[in-house]
Amino acid sequence: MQHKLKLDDQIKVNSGKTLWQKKLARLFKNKFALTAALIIFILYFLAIFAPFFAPYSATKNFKNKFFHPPTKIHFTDENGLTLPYIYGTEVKEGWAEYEINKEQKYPIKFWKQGDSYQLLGIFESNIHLFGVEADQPIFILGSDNYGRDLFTRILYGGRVSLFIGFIAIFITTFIGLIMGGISGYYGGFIDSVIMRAVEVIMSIPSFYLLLALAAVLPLDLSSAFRFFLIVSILAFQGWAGMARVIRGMVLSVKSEDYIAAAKALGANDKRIILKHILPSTATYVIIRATIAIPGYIIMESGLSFIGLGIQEPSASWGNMLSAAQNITKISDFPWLLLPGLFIFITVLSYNILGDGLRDALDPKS
Amino acid sequence: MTKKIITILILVLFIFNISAAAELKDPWISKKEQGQHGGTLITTLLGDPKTFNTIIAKETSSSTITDGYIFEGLVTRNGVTTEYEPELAKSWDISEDGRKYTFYLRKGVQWSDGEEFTADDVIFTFDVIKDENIPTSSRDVLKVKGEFPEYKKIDKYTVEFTLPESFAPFLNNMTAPIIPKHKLYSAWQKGKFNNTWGINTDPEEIVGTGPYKLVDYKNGERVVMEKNNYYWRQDPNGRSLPYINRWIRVIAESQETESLLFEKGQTHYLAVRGIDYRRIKTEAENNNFSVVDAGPAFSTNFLVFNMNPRNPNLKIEPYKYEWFTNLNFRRAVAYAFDKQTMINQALAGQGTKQWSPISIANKVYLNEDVKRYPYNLEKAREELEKGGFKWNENGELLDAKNNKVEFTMVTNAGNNVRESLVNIIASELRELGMTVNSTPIEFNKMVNQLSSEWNFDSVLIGLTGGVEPHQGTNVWMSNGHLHMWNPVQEEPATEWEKRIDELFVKGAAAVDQEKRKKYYDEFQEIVAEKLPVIYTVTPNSLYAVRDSLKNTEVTAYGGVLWNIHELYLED
Amino acid sequence: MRDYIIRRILIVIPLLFAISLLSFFIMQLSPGSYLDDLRMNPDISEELIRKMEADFGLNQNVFIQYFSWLKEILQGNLGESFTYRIPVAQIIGSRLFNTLLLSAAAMLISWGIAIPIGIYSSVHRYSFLDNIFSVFSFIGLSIPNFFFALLLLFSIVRFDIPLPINGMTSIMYDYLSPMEKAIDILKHLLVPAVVLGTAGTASLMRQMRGQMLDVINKDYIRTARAKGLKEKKVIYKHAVRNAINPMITIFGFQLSSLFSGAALTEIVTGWPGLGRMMLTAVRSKDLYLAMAGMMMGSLMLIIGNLAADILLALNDPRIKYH
Repeated sequence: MQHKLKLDDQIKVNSGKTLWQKKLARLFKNKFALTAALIIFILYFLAIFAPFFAPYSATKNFKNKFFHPPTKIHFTDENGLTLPYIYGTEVKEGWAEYEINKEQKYPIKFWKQGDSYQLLGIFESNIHLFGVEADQPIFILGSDNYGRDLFTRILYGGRVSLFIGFIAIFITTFIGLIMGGISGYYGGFIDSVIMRAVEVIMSIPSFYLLLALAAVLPLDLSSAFRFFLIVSILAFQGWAGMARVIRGMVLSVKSEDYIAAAKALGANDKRIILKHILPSTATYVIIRATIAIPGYIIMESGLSFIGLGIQEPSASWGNMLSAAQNITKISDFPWLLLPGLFIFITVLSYNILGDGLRDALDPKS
Repeated sequence: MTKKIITILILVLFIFNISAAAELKDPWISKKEQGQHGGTLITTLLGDPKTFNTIIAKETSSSTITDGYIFEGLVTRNGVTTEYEPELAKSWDISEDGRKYTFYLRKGVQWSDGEEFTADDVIFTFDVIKDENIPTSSRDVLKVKGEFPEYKKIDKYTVEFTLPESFAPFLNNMTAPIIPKHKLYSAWQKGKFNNTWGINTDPEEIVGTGPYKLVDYKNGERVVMEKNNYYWRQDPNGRSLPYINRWIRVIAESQETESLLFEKGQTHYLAVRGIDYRRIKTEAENNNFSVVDAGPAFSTNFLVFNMNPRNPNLKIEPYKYEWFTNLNFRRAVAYAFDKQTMINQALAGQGTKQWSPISIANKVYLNEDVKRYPYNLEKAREELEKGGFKWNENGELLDAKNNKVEFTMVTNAGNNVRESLVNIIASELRELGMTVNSTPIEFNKMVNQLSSEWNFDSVLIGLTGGVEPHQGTNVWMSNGHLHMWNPVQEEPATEWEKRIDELFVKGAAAVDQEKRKKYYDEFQEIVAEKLPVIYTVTPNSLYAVRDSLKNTEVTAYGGVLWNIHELYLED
Repeated sequence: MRDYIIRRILIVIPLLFAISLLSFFIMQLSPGSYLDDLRMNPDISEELIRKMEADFGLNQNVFIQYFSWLKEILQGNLGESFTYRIPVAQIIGSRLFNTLLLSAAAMLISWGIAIPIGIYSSVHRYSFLDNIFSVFSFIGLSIPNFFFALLLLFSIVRFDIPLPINGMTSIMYDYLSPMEKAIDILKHLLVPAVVLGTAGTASLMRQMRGQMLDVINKDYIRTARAKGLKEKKVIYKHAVRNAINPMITIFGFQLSSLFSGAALTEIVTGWPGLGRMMLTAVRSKDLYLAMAGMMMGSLMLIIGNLAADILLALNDPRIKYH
């Protein structure tokens, strides 16, 4: 579908609002989209400040408390309402069975000092939003097979799962815009070469390409490097589609009168591309990005799920789900499936937001 | 008068010959309860076979189809006692000096196409194994002192092997499957043996002496087998075994799928994983199956440090050699192994602590009195101090020359148990101030590092043991290429490795069981003392078996189907 | 038109060539080879392994390996699989068919559900059901298909639902009548096809709804109504026909995600298709098998795209390609 461009992007219309302002207003009217945006914002916020929100560090494990159910938080005691507290649990005879010990009451402390961490790589701190004194763990979402707090891992895993898509889409967009722009604007030999490359990439089913690329990555790379490589693989697979559409858009804009006018006035190529052509692709790019991010998130979790993506001990929602793939675990320890729920919520929110954006920015579709 | 005697004599001889012709079989009668004939057994397989040619098969997914079911050896081991039992050979003699083995073949055994099994087949099988153009693992293990034994046919039912010197493990090698000369000789002659009996061979072509023959194979789906109508074993009533007519083996791509299939009632038995044990055991009460705990399995998992002076990394990090060859260091690591947590977390509570290189399940050779290192971080710290290590004010461990102790520990990705073990070990070592970079890597890469590049720091890996200790020569002898901490040595690097070499040579040459046990006992003591590898825990062999499958005797060694020829299905 | 088709078909060859080059070098990037598994076996000697390396041609220069492979391909020989030691062509054939079957079933399900619902939603815009369908479509779109498969499989076991959980045929397949065989396969197809189809259903539904809404507001619909035609006829005979046309473009887009999604679905549900084969081949570095898999997958996609483009061109004479 060709996107029909409007010339009046920068011209003020009667009501005194620019078209963009009108579009935004339309967006804000959409309650669903707003809620979705809010959820996304919260998730990213939690992920960025994960070390603060999480009671423990990413690798902390309570080796005797594996598969521990979520700790119940109590708000009342025999005297009525109190500050929240938990009971300690003891390991019972048998395996992965825990008994609540009502003798041991542990109040939940806020702004507690715990494992130290570096925020954003700059600030050192050891303050956590909440925690519990002594060695008694607080597992608000339960613990996994190594005795690690699931809530902590979900937060840290969120960093991976949420940002991989985010960063990948930036790279994809960047490359797609450049390649598509050059291809459409200059045409000729460069156009042919780039478009042939696009065709090759788009002719391989994306998952097969991902599979092959991910399978050749050695597993013992540092997790940061691996993260970077997975992002690159996703982007490598994604830029082609975008480049092709951008090229189409550029081609049609190229023949518009105002471009000829700009040329006649002496504007150089770079200026024309940057100031006139690319902005008209903005709508498409924004919509496409919002729709592509959930795709990337699902691809990364899929890869991690089958063991080719992010590796232990790093957490990613996908590899956490992979560890849950067992009927005993799912029936006896169902909290292990929560990462799946988080993936679902994130993807759902992006889809709703994307849909709302599309309605607002481009009412024709 | 003489005429009468002669006539009688001739008559007697005649009758004798006739009865001899009718009774040429050396019977084997099942001692278990008489069962019903008929039925279809359904089990699972973890992976497709890559070939039906048992001689060149290299992976268990192939040999598990053929060995013991389609093909048999001269000798086999009893699934319960693990002792040698006659199979295609009804008996054998060993000469005083242990160099000559004479096998008396069972008479009247027929291949699944009706042809008779004779010494020609045995000779042919060993001709093939000996052939350098055939890529088979059986050849090397048969060599004694680098030489393949001599063998010859004495008569139609007798074969004799002559070894360069006495070699106790020889009988173990005689469990090798025998292949039919009449089906494969011409292919071998034409040099096409390596391409015969691949997975798209017409099942009719695959002929063996075993209880079952191949009937169908669908890639990725299932293997179908049916009973061999010419099979030589009999039930108590004299009727030919096996009882079960058909055997369908479903290919499942994961242990998870196997579990699901069993729980949906579709298969007759399941190798239960530790994590499912408790749940399945509870289900067994209301269902038509029972759960068997067959005790520790024959597999081992251990940590090995790189003590190879040829390690290319030593050019950059020479101090690692000092650490890993320091016995106090290794002892400290051993004391830091929290084996109870390993059993709880990695094996879901279903396991046993391991201290010796011989599998716990190996009742014959296990030495229970080797040195143990019960979990004790204090003792670990003492050992480190003894070894010249110390801690800085951040609690980090330093060696005598102030190098921070940091190294990598790898294991193969995808193996949940091993990944779990690495996680536990690394945690404890971090408590001691070491910096451990633990990561799972591809199996292929790990193998490369261990066997050719020699550039690892430490690896957690496992091996499956057997009953015969000599099978481990590649690992324990100093020139072995699986002598992981320092492989393919030209001369033994240490006194104790030299002693182990001697023990293995002596153990193989000694024929007296008592003597052999003494040698291998000492070998286990040395390993526990010097810790070239540090053992972890052994999983238990757990099986769930449907009540309708009768006559089973489930063991860690034999599994469920070692005596499939006498198992039957009750309606 | 004819020229266009011929040109498109001709391009396929250099395209495949480029894809093969890409695939080959990707496979080469990873260290080690298929034989590493065997090195760990204490029974196998170094010489044996070296011999096998020579047998498989793994000890030669990378470029030589590629060109020998190419030469074989051009003669119709896809090579031999290292792991199975039989010609690749024999393994690929059935796997390819299975994947196509699964994709077709998923497409059937998604179009079968999406079109009627899309039509209904457009006619009863903003009604209660319309909103419910919207919600469901979003949910279906947002659940990762491996997670969905996981939940379905475990529900089947937990709640004893009489559906198979693995594979394509049941154990007693060979002993069934042809009719029963077909039903058996359909039963096995259900879970994977539903998992695979749900993602496409959502976007299709919305597209259909959108297209219908577009068309319903057009003049000729008003004319038809004014003429007194029954509402049903108006909708089904005129609106739907016109709304579906542009959907053909989506058909092409769907293919790519279908084949890709099929791979992951196959892996999780145990459907013996091309995707699952690819995973094991790539993991064990079964070079020729993996190459053939990539080529087949790409070929399927190219053919599908070509078909979609041809359909599009046939349908809309206004579109010119230069």
